[in-house]
Amino acid sequence: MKNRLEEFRTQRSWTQQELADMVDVSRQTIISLERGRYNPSITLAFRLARLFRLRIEDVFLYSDEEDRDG
Amino acid sequence: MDERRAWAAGRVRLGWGLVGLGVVLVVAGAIIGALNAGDGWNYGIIGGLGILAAGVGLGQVIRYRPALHDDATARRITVEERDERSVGIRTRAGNRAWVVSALFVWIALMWVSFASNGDVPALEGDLLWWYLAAAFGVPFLVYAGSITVDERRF
Repeated sequence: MKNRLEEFRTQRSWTQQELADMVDVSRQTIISLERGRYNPSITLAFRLARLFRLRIEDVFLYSDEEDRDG
Repeated sequence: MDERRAWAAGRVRLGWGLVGLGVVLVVAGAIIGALNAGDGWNYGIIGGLGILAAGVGLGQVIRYRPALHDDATARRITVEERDERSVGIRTRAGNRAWVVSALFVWIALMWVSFASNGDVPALEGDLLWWYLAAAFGVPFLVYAGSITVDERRF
């Protein structure tokens, strides 16, 4: 799933490690999220969205086509 | 921070529990062996299991005890253990390894059935040893390989 995680993170001048520390995951998870290789759980998605003071849909861009293609 | 330390403390308690169980098994094995000397059974297996339990327990204590005294260590360890991506990767690997392990057991059951009819050699001696080694080693390789592949994929 595409997302704007890297965009919002860099706007705030946070490193990947800092973001990982804030939401209690590993830096590798943040890297995988930003590259779109890993889809977060709903809980993690909520934590990230709330951290940026945004809605989940503003951070994670769900697409029917991508979902069908797997 | 307190939640992480509490989680680590639980792991340390489990570790000490396993160490205690290991000591009990070693002592019990020695006593049972002494009381039943000469009956043809080697009760060293009980002590061996005790050593295994104690070793696993000691490993838990050594790994998690530092987290009780240092916030950064507590954070690092809990993230390593509970990071959702890592947990998911390990779960997938475990499922795949279990399928392979179950396949080995199913094959052994079929083999023993056929061997009882004399259709195949009996699974015993060196053949049995190698089969069991494979039944242990192959699922482990599947587990490790799955983690390696999925770490790159996800």
